[in-house]
Amino acid sequence: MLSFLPVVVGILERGFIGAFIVMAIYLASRVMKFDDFSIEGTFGLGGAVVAWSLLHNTNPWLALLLGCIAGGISGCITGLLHTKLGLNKLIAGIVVTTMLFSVSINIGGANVALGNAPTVFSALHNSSFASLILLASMALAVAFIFIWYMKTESGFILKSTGINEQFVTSLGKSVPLYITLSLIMANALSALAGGIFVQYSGFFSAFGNVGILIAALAGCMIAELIAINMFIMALFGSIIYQLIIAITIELQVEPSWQKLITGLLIVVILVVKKLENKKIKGSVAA
Amino acid sequence: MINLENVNVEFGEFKALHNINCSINAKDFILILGHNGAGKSTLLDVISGRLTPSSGKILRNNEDISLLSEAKRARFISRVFQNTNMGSVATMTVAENLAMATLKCKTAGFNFAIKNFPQQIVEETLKPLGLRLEELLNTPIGKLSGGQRQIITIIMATLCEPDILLLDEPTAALDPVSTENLLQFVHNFTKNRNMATMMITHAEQQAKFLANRTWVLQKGLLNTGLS
Amino acid sequence: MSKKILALLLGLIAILAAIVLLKRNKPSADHITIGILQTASFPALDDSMQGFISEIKKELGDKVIIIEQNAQGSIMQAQAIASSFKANKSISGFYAIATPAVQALKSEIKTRPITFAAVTDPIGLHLREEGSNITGATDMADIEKQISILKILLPNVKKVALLYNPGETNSVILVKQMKIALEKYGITYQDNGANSQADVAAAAQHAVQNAQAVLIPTDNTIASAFPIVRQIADKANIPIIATGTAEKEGPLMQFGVDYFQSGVQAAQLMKKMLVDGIKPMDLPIVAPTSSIIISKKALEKYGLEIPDSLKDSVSLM
Repeated sequence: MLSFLPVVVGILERGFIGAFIVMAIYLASRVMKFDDFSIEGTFGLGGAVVAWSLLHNTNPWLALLLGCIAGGISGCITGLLHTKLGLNKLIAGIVVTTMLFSVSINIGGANVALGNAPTVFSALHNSSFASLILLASMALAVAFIFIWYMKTESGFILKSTGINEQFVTSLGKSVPLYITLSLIMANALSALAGGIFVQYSGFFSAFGNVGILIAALAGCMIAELIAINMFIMALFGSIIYQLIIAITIELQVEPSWQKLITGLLIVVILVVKKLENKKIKGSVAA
Repeated sequence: MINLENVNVEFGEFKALHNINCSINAKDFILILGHNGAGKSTLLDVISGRLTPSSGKILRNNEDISLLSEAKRARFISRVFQNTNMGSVATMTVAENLAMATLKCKTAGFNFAIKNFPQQIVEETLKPLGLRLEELLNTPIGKLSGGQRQIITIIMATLCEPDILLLDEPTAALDPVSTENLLQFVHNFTKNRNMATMMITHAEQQAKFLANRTWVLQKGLLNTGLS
Repeated sequence: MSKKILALLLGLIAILAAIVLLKRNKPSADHITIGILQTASFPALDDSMQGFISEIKKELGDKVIIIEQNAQGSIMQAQAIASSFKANKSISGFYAIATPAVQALKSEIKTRPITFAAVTDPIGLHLREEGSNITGATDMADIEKQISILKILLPNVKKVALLYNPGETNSVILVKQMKIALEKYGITYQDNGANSQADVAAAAQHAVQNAQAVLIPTDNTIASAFPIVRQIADKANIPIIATGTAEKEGPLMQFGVDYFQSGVQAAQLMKKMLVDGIKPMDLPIVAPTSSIIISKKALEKYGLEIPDSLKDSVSLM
């Protein structure tokens, strides 16, 4: 059993990091109905900003905050491109992601190692569980902040914007403002995940965000399948996704097939969901 | 209170509204009649700010509001649509929707939104209706019938005491009984208020008793002379 | 928590546990297990893999069990594989191909030995700090020598175009060195970045229009789209000078890093650590065996001759 425990710890750690991106996807795609591709780009941006900050002797927590702010600014740009310039949602996200690639490699470099720069984990290296507990509490804290926010007046309006824009306008609230606000939050979350991942793995790579979006989407769909409260479920969805990936690694599935497996996973989830919907048809309308 | 001065709305060659001049006063109940495509909804659009007039002015207490956005006008102009889903958030409960409607008269902050639930509505409005709507407070509003939803929507639209309530065929999607109920509700609900109401309807005979003025739109021209 | 989630979680964990317990052999004296983590599938990286496997089989024979993993370019995946390797106590040594792989392994595995290949700047990546468990073969070519030969072979070239992916760390390091060397020899240069294979054609087009020669570092993006680069350069009559492409013909001059050989060197280092018990820090990093290959066809095409001073140090193809 001893060889099994570290596998599980690794899965949980990566699951908690992934949970931030799952929450970001949920916020953008599901709450706001805005499929924002730039979430992939801001993961890289957050990593680049954090790597740069750490190499310039910044406190690792402050570095994470800077990463979040950078992500938020990027989300704001995506939002403004859509709401003010009228760019299509997908195009706005893709344009920003493309630009972020350049921004990220200019901030962080193509690949940079943190070396001995202190990270939020470096003080904890003595205990194998300390990093896990730290990650878990960060993910839970963020989830609870969002659960709280969604119950506030501002959160109510944000939720409504994704469902009924006319209604929000009728309340005298600015729809563009709330769309942008949701993208700021989603991208700050994704940048936070990127920053944490850089501190966790000890290096930044310009290609570190490859495949993040699809992984998070799979996590989000798993979460929806088991949904009670989405922000808590984001944690489980992300962990279950990592579990499945770990199984494919342990099985030594030919690596070139792994992306196919992710795709199939999403299809299976959709089918299961459809079957479930059929079963309870009529009892839930909305 | 609200005055339209020489308002024109053109979509390219097509003149949807032609030189409209009219005034709407407090306590007015104006029935708007006309064929499909006569410009009835366009008239409400131009008042509520969904459309900007091609020329002319919209005045509120002699202040020009023609260029004010729809969101900014929402504070004093409320609108209820024909589609019973447009005036609320289907996935949220009746209570949550009512609580949210109070945010029209203040900025949305970080208090728990549900605390704004207007409790007095239950005693003053819902219970006297006798439709047992007060028992559905914790039901998602999307599960209510169209007629029930439209009543809640009208209550929500008036929570912040607008100057004017615009009803755009509120009964079009309802069956005859619900239509009767809704019109009766609108009557009781508006008669003691200071606010003006404009209602587009095709059910002229049924709705006549509500109105003190009747306007007819024909090919973009407004006839206000049938009071 | 609902029963559904609990069931899903427990089911998956049970599957995982079953696989882990069934598949993992106990560490044993008569077998040596080696975990290989390859960053992505590129020709050069595949060569490093082949070289390593053929050499380690030669050295250790049937005793060796190899677990091959490929992160397919995803860093998160590389990290997941490294974490799986860490938990697998039967693996006694690790082989990392390309920079992200060695970084992922470094963050997880602190005691068991790691060798690498296809890494350009091991010092800059902090791979060789005190007590490090990492050594390997770099693919850092002798750039200055390359530029000096370029100057002899093409004395009239005043301006070269650098064609590379600014997102690839190896390219960035090589390009930096190239620029220093070019300045030293009085050649001006111009950057042409291609962020993905889709951009290579446009960047190559721009490159041939603005310079008298195209200079390409070891770059996986450019290498995988090399045929299009060659086509564009041929049309424009501009020679290509490359630091190792998988393409044997095409570049006028190729300053080849032999990636197969790098893999062989990494395997030899691995054997020294595992069998002979030498500490990683006592094994210095190995530089690549590099050869200068000049294409006969291209020489004829551009009407060039190899000066006598170079005849000994280059090989014709």
